Amino acid sequence: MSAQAALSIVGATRDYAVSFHGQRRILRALRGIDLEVGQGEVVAIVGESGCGKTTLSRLMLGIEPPTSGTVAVAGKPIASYHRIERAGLIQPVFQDPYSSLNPRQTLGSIIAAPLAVRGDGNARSRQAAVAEMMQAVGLPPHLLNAYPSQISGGQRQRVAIARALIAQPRILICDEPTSALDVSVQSQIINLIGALQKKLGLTVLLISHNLAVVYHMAERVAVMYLGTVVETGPTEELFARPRHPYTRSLLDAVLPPTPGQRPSWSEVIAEPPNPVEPPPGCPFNPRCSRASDICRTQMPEQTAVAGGMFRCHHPLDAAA
Amino acid sequence: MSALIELEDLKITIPTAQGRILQPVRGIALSVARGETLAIVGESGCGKSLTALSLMGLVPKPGRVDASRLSFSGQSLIDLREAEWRKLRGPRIAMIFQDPMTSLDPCYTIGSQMTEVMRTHLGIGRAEARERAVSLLARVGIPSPAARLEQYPHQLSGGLRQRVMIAMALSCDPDLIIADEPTTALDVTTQAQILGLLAQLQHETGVGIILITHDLGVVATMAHRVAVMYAGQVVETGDTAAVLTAPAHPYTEGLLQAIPTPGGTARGALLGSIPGIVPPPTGTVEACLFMERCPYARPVCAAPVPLVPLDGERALRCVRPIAERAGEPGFEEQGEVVS
Repeated sequence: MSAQAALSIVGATRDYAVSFHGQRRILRALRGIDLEVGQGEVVAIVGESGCGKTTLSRLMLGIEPPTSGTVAVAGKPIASYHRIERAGLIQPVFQDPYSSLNPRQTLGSIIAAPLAVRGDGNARSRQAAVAEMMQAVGLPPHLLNAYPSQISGGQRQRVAIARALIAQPRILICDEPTSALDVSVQSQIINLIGALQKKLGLTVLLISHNLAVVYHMAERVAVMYLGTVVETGPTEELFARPRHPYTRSLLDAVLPPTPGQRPSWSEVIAEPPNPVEPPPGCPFNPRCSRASDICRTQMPEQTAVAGGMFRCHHPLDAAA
Repeated sequence: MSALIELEDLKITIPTAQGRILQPVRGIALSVARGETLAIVGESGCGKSLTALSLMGLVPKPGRVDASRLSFSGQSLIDLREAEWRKLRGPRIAMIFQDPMTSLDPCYTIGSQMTEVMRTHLGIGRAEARERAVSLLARVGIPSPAARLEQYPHQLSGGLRQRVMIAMALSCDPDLIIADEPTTALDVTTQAQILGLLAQLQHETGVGIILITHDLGVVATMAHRVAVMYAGQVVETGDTAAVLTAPAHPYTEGLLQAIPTPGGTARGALLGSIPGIVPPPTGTVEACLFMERCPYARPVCAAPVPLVPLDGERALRCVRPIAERAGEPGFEEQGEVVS
């Protein structure tokens, strides 16, 4: 749509063939996603497990193609790039730094891997780039020849970030970058990603179920439910005035470390349905206290609002 | 309120194959009363899970448990024989583990796992145990409970499995439930449901709960009292509201500053962070264990620090009280500098 979009997803679906009670069935993990991310923007994708957030990130990374629809990076479909070219555009940081680093490689060779694969420079220039990148992510130089087992979880995640950034990508996809880390380390990684994003003008897709982290880091939020984006909006606006009842219930489930703010247990909702058998109509209707007949038969269309949209037949009052 | 668990000076030592001695727990005191929830909060490796396991006699061999006092409802648990432990585990003290995916046996139905516990401990027959299992599942909010008994764990969602775990923990009317990170593996909406269920069951039965967590939001929501652990020691304990609103130990202060809170912390601002890493659980304690990571550390901290009672139920392991630290640079000065 617009020229400056770093990432543009239009009508993306993704199907998987699964066995369900012994029958061959189609699981539609993504049911038509539209999402546009501007250059240098930090956008969060939130939702419960099984909502399709990770599938969406795999589509964005070009690890798998959409079943239908398009995923475009810098104006061109992701599939049209050679994988080496793609690696210079978009890079992932995964959730678990205990399994995403090869235990038999030194930190130096892990961080240099994207350059080595691409055949950039020679061993010496790559080593200089690694040293520079280690400094940028706050890893002491003496760890160059250490192995992942010799460093802490927070340091491992710094290695993963250094490896992602050494190829100088424009887009960073962070899939739950802090959820495997301890609280005190979590904040270091949040600070680091924030600082690097500003310094390098990175576009960051933050995939998370931790709404406190999302609130802190993201400029814009997309809420996913059962393979559909049900609401998007600027972070402050979405947290202050959610329009979709599902967004409201996610926000209500956040437990702040402030005593005396016990959430109202009675309003918490049942569990999500199996994506192999999504309910007809609005995917959220079986769990929604506002659901009516139309919700059970008809998927709500997008309603545009300032800076975002929502999909709901009975949205919450904007003034509330 | 009568004390259910009284624990003083708990030490756990584990000899390693290399001949070293690890001390993951170095002198813990805590107590839990009937109807009360005590949260033990701390980061990985602080000894919180081992402390809980010691209350069940489940510290893995060759680990050694020493305590000057370890009693449950007045009965001493020190040097208890395995057969006696078995009479406590399940019927009196029950445990809910973190991961409901791995703590249920995949080869047996929910029904057979639930009834086995009750038939063993309560001495009731198959039919009665089954009836009881159905009512327990209904009580923890599982729809169509009778049908669930025939199902295997893999057929249930994570939230339902954790409800089954809670139902099993409740099945013999225990006096104490130890819940080790009961919601960490669950989604936020499911977490709220499970915590709500535990709170409601406590209200109904008066069961005491020890809640082990690293999530201060869970602590604030659930716990009456909290013990903050660091490197095998309790560094601060007291009434939850008091500890979370006015943390006295620098470590508690650092933890609280490290968490972003919608509406509480400024968006995008640097979060406070605790530099460095937890010291290894070896050697003797010769200084405050938090000293190396503490922005308020002074030479006076280079000696072992006792846990000193403050006013009320609070106790603190720090020689530099808040009044003395006031105005000194704290954790917010430790933000990330990108060169």
